Amino acid sequence: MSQIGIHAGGYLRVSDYARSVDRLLLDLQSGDTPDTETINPVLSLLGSVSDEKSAAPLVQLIKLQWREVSKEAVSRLPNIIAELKSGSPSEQTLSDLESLAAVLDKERVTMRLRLRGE
Amino acid sequence: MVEDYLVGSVGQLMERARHLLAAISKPYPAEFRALAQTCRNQVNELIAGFEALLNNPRYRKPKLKALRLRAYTDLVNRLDFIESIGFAALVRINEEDKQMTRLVSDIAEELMFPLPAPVVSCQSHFSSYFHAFPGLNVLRVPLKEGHFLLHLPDLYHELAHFVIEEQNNPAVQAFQDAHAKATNAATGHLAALLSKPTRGPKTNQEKYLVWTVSWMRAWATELFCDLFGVLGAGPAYAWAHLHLCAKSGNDPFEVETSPDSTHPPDEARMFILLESLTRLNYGTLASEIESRWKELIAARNFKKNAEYELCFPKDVLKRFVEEAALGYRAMNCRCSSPNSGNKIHDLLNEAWAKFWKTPKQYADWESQNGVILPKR
Repeated sequence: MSQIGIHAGGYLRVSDYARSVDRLLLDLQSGDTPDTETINPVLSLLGSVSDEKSAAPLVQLIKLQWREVSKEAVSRLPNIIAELKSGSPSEQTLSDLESLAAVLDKERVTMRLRLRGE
Repeated sequence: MVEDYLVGSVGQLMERARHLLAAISKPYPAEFRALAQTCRNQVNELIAGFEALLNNPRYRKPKLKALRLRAYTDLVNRLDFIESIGFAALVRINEEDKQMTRLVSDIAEELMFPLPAPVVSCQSHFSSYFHAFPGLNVLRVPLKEGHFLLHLPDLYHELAHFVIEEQNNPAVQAFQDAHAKATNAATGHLAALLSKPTRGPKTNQEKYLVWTVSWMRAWATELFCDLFGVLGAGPAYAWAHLHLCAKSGNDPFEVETSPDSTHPPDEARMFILLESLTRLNYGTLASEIESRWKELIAARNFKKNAEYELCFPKDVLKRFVEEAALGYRAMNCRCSSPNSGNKIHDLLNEAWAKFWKTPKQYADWESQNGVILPKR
């Protein structure tokens, strides 16, 4: 397979993850209560990130990169998940989700550049 | 600035999206209709996203400016992606595209492939070779590839990319889990190296980290797709790999140390293919391929190096072989076997047998016998 092709699948998946986190942040930072359609994809992503052994390689990569940016956020994962489930995320959780959004955006941009052969 | 810029740019992008919809508003052959519908749905979704970007009052809040710009970039890139892959395939459909799409559909049937077969577009660029675009279910191949048999086993590899990228589908979960387990074996091996107290240079640690990223980002996926390819196509797949390496001239032992690396060294790929063939009871053919492979490497004067041995230990590679076979069988996909009775599988293997038996006559044989498409 070509170098371009290998990034196509990853790009779409990272793009989906990034979009789901941004959609949730849009609700939370606007003071709106996210519905399950908005919150579930993020909970599912965070659940996969927590699951060290069976996470897809791309999710493991995201975790590795997130840890480099914010070790604290990754260690707070159980709290982040619990707060999102309870419907009352703290300021700290919002900030942790922001750091995840930045990691996902960076990986999305990186893959996008490679997809274009740049 | 941001507001004015977005108003102007988004307006233009919405117009572009509408142009695209108009370009595919015509009847399509049955096998291309799903792609046309996917493109239509996705573009309409993007138009809705662009409208929200302009009109959703929440985006006007100053603290959400960065988020709004991220959403804008995402929409632009998705439109670009769908235009250059999905629409580009739909606006140019010709006889070769149709026949290659049919061929891949037949291969999928032979394999008992668990997903819908992708649409094939014969328009990959110079550096692109074969490539899969999950999400749109499109596969690109070089312009005239369908007229020749020797590289067609690579189509099996490409099908595996669709399996790996499929989401929420229990039918392919076993293969995806096996992929994750094998990747863990590789990264676990590097984690053990990283945790060892060392007096070596710091650059070693950095190198192990880059390799870890490469395993996660691409190498494990490529190896798994290779294994899917050999499990489905048999020896023909390993021959096609040798063929590709002979043409590329790359050092098969070179371990890239860039996070941009997409492919593991060719020696590692050949190793897992031969292991897999032996387990499929193709021991004699595996020995023959190995012997020609070694001859090719020796002729180019390539040699194993310490980095290769460190990053691609045999026990890790064997774990890939085991896991992929388990995952493949759990999807109920059909394994390659000699004279399987599956027309395309047998033809691709026969082509390689003829190639080695009578190389001088091969081109003639291919033009008269194994041809899937009408001749050039």
